[in-house]
Amino acid sequence: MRNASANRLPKPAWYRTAGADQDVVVSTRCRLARNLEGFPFPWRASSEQLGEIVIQCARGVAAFEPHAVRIGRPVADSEALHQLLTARYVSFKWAEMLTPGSVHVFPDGSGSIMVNEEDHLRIQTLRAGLDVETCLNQAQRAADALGRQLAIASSSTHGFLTASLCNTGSGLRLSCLLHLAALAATPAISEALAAARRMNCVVRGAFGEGSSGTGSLVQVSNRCTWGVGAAYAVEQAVAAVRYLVVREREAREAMMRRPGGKGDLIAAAEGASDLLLHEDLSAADIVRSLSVVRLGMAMGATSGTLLRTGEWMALAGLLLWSERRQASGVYERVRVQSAVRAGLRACLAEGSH
Amino acid sequence: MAPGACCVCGAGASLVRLTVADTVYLVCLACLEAAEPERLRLPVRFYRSLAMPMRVSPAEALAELDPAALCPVCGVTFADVSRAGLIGCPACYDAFGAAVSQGLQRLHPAT
Repeated sequence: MRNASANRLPKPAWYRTAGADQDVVVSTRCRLARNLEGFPFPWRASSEQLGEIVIQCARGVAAFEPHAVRIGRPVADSEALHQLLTARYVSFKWAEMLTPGSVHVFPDGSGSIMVNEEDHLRIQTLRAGLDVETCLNQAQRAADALGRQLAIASSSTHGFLTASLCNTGSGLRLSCLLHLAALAATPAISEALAAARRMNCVVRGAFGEGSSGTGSLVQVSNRCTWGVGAAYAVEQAVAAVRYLVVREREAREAMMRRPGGKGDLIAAAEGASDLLLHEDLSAADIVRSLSVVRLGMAMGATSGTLLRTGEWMALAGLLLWSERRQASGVYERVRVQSAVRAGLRACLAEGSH
Repeated sequence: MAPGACCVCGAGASLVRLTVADTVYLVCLACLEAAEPERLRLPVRFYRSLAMPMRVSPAEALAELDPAALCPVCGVTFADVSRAGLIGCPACYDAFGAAVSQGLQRLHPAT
């Protein structure tokens, strides 16, 4: 039986609602960084100061989102921490910190507010597929509401003041998680990613590794938060994402036009499903196999709903992260494999009816 | 064509030296990319990746300032800020003003 705090967490909105372009775009995330006036940034703050920030932020959040689910850090309940991470309500960095902090999860599962990560406040919203407008509006509404309750650090010359100069100004980071499975199999991938970088975007692996990304999962986000308007930075990021979506679809069409292309993809997707269902795979191999299954689903070569794959990839990503930190035990791997297998079996059963 | 310039378009930046038989040519990456004969595909990619601007880390972006310079509000030294790549508190933006301005310009190249 799951304990109380894990049960209280709402199911993430990005698990439930399909967004645009979800054949390529797994999810969209908008994050706004803010800090309170009169306190050092978290890495310089004392335990007492961090505790005071937690209290002030809790009051601020309660005033505009009284039904938000609040969980304090360190998180004593491992099931709750697991859920917070797979739902992407908290970052791996927040989860690793042992200092006083908290997270407030919006009751509709559309996002969360992390307290005392790199900045005092990290407001983030997530959607499935490409849904920039909803993400931006929700995050901005939450930031505006917090700004009415709390004294937020800002200056007329620099905008919002943050711990890292990378976030100073708007504090806005718009990130899209892209599945570039067909493009990554061609030499054109490096040229396409270089073009996205030239559009002032940061391109990297979904789980913090190199830009090739395990399982061809690549995260694209705006680089500039200062000196250019937030709207311009968002436009550049969206343009880069749309460009990569087009290039990926071209690569997929070319792959399917090849003699035996569809047959090869069906065989590869079936093989990958088989591996996921029956073999004891490492986290990286789970992500790679899921990538092939997802591509098969997107191209109609295998049954199943794309929306579910985002959740499985988040689970496998969590395992990949814990393996890198040598924090993963056999239990964690079995747990992730079981969750992926149950979902995959349900998809296959739906397809056979 | 002027010496030190691309032999195709005359550009003076991002040049690659190509030796064909006994003749040395200077070609810019843009022209090389446009022509891109099959046997040059890999070297072109390699040079293009070298020409790509590298992302500057926050610590690298901060200009030199006296390491002992101190923020009067939070007490962090500039040496600490440089080491961590993080600012200590909102008041540090004024305390290390020159370094912060230069860092912002380097980290946000679209400005």
